[in-house]
Amino acid sequence: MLSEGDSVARASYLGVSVFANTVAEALLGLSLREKAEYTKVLDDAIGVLKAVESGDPSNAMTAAGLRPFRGYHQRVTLLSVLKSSSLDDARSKISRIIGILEAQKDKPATLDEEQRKEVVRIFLKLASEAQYSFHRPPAGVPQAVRELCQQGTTM
Amino acid sequence: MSARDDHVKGDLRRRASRPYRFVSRLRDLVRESRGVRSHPSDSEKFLDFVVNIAEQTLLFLNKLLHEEVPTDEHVGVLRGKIADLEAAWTLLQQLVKPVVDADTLHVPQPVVSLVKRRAKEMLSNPAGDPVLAIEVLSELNFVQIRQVNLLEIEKQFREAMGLGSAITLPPSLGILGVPYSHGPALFMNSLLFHELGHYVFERWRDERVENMRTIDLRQRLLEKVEPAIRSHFPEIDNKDRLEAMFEFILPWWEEIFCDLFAVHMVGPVFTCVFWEYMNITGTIDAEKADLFHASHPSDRFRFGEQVFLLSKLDWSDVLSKSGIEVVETIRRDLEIAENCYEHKIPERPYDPQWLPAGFPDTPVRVFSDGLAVVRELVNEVMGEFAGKPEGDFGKEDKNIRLCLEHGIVPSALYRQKLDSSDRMITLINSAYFFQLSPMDKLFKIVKGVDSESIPIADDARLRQRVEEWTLKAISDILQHFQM
Repeated sequence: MLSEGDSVARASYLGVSVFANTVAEALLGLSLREKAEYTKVLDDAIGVLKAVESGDPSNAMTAAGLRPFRGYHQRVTLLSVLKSSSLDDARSKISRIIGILEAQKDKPATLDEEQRKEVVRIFLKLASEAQYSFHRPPAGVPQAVRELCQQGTTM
Repeated sequence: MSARDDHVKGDLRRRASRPYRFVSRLRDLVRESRGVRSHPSDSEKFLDFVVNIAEQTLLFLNKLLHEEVPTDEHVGVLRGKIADLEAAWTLLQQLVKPVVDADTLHVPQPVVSLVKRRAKEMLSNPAGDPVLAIEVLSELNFVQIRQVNLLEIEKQFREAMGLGSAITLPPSLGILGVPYSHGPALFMNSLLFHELGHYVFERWRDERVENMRTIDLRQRLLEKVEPAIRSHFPEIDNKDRLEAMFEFILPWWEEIFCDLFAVHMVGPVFTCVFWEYMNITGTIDAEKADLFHASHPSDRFRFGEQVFLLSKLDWSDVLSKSGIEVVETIRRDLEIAENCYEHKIPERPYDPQWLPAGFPDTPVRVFSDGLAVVRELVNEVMGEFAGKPEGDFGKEDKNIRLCLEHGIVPSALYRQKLDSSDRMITLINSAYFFQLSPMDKLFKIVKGVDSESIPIADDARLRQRVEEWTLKAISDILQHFQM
């Protein structure tokens, strides 16, 4: 049974899962929607990842572009899938993914099949992690908040 | 087909079958209920959406099973799509039964119309007039519930199935929850204005900012409280950690926003009813009044902010005549200082069921420092609009009381056309404070005895009648407005 409070957090994780599965769907070129729609999906995904890469969630322009990763927890999920402890660490991986999404959009024939599959697997892993958190939202105080508080800066 | 394909297809079919059956049942439940019950028109829009999105889900699941699955990655995507739809329905289904149950016999329609009227007057909403579906809640303590954003769920359905704009909710649709036990009550349902605050917090957009940017309240709040967060955590080295702290405190700020918004919108009746209600539910406890929870700040902060706002608004005169007793009780029981903008930081601020004793109080200090920003935001959202009694409250109050103590519905006082809902707010406050009084004259007229010698059942019935007369007056006045 979901509690009402949990449902707010769950909706955010669902946003990440839907995003990731839809990008994977576009990379594989399924026939669930029109081809033109997949181009838009890829365009949107590139915009979202560029916003994540720019790394300033308190900037209004960036925040609007972040969409499924607008929340701190959702960005942490992405970083953990990329096996990165910080955004600085993840930037080169995100740039590479953006490059592959751009190639899929503009010159799909030039894209190496293994590269495509590797990125699909990253998005599937991201969707799976988000689904896990949807069903078991992390409880308690986020690690970042705990660490900041423990550094003891009470004035 | 190969044995691998057979296996994969069989697995996908079994996975899709569960949401297929579940969604079909939900769609049928809505259809059947609409055959025998009547719902408010805004709720009908929500129920239309549920039926339409159910049909789309069933079509999509069917289409998905015809997809080719040459690789494990294809299988992974299709399993993921099924899981996404099931998750989206898990969120949506929570709202369906409560809205179905909120038929026209169980909804305080004049109160809902008044809430919509106030919102319409106040909000210049580019998405159109507020559309507020109603749900009936089993919880009594509904001011403590955080609802999932309906538009967020709709977006996930659209993106998961690639629906584009084919099926959309009215962009201004929100859901207000009314505890079933409140039914047709008027005064208790003034708490709906707090719920309206959450709706505004989600939907308000500032279109005026430079570069054609649209800023929502969450973003505006983050920009403005950043200095307060940094002053307590100067070592914050990246924006992600800043935002983590912001998100941790945000629910507390949002609750204060909604409380202050409600006080602006409906006046002291909100604070007094909230207090009364917390007493009924046994939630108010001087020892626990300092405790912060994951989703709500402490009661002392909440009531402190409201009481101080009331003293700043034009309601202070009204309170001094009619409601001072309640406000003084709140001040005394919660030990709220005259100038409660200077909140005391408690020694043990967290609910021990949530956080262990000894957890640093810094987030509460940041929260306290950021309250000035929240007050500013409420003022910004309210703009020129301030929910205060129009004209001479003293005179209106006197006439309203005169009607009520003679058992007369006060509609007669509002024969002329009104151009705003302000006087209805005056009416609610006046009637509320009247029914808190001994009502001796009314008891004498109706029962021929003093209030002290009347049985509790008769007392309750007569106070209920006062509420009903006021509700009838509001219903009559609303006829003057084009909604």
